[in-house]
Amino acid sequence: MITVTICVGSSCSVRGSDEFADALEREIEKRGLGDRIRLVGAFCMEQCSKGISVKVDDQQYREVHFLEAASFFEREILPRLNREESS
Amino acid sequence: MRLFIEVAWDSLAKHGEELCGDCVRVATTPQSFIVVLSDGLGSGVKANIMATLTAEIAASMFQRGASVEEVISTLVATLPECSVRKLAYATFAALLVERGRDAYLVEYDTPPLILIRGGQIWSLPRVEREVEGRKIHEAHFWLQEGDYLVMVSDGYVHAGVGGLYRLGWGWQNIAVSVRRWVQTGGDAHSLVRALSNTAMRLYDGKPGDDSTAVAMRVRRTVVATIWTGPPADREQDAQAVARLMKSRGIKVICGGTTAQIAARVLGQELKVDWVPPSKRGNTPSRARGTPPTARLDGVDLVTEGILTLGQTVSLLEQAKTVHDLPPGEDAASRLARILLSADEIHFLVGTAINPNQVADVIRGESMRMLYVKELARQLEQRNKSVTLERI
Ligand code: FES
Repeated sequence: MITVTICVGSSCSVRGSDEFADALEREIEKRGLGDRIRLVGAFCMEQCSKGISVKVDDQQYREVHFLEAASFFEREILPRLNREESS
Repeated sequence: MRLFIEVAWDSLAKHGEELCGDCVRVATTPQSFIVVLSDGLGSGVKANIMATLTAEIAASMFQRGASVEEVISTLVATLPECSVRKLAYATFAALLVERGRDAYLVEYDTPPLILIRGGQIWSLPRVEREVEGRKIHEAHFWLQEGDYLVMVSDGYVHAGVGGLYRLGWGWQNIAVSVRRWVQTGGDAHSLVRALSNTAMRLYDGKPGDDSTAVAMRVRRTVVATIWTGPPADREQDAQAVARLMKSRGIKVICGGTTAQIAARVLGQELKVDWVPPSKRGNTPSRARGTPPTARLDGVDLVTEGILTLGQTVSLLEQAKTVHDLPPGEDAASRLARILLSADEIHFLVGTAINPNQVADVIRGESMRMLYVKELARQLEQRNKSVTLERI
């Protein structure tokens, strides 16, 4: 089970954390991975910057753009899932 | 159980006058509550000045423990007497309450205080006596939870003279109206507004006399404790959490890191109130850019820090009472509602400096502390008792 924590603090919400979450969810549903990935919201991660703050398990990302949900999924989440599977 | 006396008042100036010739003064300390309603003879500027002086002198003397004899002799010595009618220029009623229960009432030529207890108009055993040649009425009694008390000036008793009520609204009718209204269980502000609206209607929008009502409701004290900011010393984390959890009344956490500390110490997961957009159904989502709230078992409100505190400051700047707040379920509206509903507010302010927010330190004080101090100032102005403790 992978937990993706999306900052929904003021700065990140202005930068589109809802849209990002929406798009990420579509990626998850498309692949039928709903039971392996959990999406949760979080308080301001004190990383307010140019983009959205996101955590995949304990790995912190900042400056994620709300339009890059699909590529973020491919790049950061899928490999993790595969690793989880093979271990 | 401690009792609290909620108080609200409203004055209508005689039609055509800019100033009201009635004056209300309230003086509270953690131990005592004093309210004085003074009615200046006549109307306009002179009445206003006489009433203001009378209320001011009486309230401040009673607050310093003066007896009614001392108050009246000071008033007689200070204020002029109407030479034609040989009357004092202002009458007054004062209610003094010690420790929320022990009440003393003195009335000098004013309509009697209305007390509604257990749904009934309660008549207080008043004793008449003369002080400095002036007839006063006094009563000693104990307040109870659920009591409603109302003081009115003459203008109320006469409201509607010659109109709806040939002889005016009258004390008995006012008391009956209050008794009926009290069944709604509303607070002092709503009661005074209802009274004021009725008086205005009876006067057909043009009060024939200065009319003032003071409404009081006796209820349990509402206490709120707000913890914001991690303690300077990490070793104090657990103790800070324990302080909050053991506090009486409403518990609030403001601050992301603070909330995480609490979650860790309590062994809970911090659940931020957020569901992915697709699962929201028709629950309205937060407006973009408003700080979120979260949940912890046993804590009534969990919010982020600085932005929420800042927004709450602006809300309080625009709202005098809880009734003036815009409806809203966002973090700041909820916090403002708690602060304005509480009578006693304790702020526990952590002083750890967040390395990401060093820039926020202004003249040695963090933004957090500046906001909390401003909130405390605003709340004290509303007669609430506020404490601020740095941890
Ligand atoms: S609001 Fe997202 S990191 Fe601050």
